[in-house]
Amino acid sequence: MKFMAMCSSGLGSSFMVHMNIETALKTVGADGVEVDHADLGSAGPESADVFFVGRDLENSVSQFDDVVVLNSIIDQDELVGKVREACQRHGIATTD
Amino acid sequence: MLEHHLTEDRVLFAAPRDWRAAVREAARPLVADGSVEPRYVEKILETIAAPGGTYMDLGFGITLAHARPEEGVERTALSLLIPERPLDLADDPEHPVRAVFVLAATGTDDHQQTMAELARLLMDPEARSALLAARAHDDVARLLRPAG
Repeated sequence: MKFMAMCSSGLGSSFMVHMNIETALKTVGADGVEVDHADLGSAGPESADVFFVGRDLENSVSQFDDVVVLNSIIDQDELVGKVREACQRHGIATTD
Repeated sequence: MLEHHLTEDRVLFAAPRDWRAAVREAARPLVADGSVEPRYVEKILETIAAPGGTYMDLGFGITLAHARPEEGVERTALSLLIPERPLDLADDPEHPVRAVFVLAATGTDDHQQTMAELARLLMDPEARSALLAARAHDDVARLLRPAG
């Protein structure tokens, strides 16, 4: 299972989301999820199972199946909730 | 490590007239010390103005202005500008700017460490509020010191 954070540069916001997803996965007690980040140009539908983007890039990710749109990149409450939902969608057990 | 980046000369308080002026002003110390070439700043402005460019708004009024290393980055660096009054990023009222970080992104290990520390700071609701309320470098420096 792989979660991918994406932004236009692949180095700023997406990297921040990447780290915050890792924190969120620990919070919800999910194991076995790999996290990475990339720029929109280099990631394809095969690059991961779930793709996380900020709301402003929602229109740039129509080629991806499972997209999670974040209102804020640094709102951990939002991210924890959406990471938990993504885990549940993909049958990954969470403890919290 | 953040405290080595956000030194007094890289934390600015100003009243820029719009978001472009804010990004330029925030980036000024990084251009002045050669961390980035002037074209890096132009690329950031161009990207923010393009469709979807407001993704650099992280939320809570905090903008992380950045572009790619090949756009003229010399070394990992970070600066911060807190405008006197909120500005609209890309002139979009949905994206108020109350703090602008300019990140010189290298994609190297120290870039990653800097981002990790910045993420930790910005995810902390109390630190975030204190940052947005900062009126002097000391207010920011206090947040960067390792918790004792």
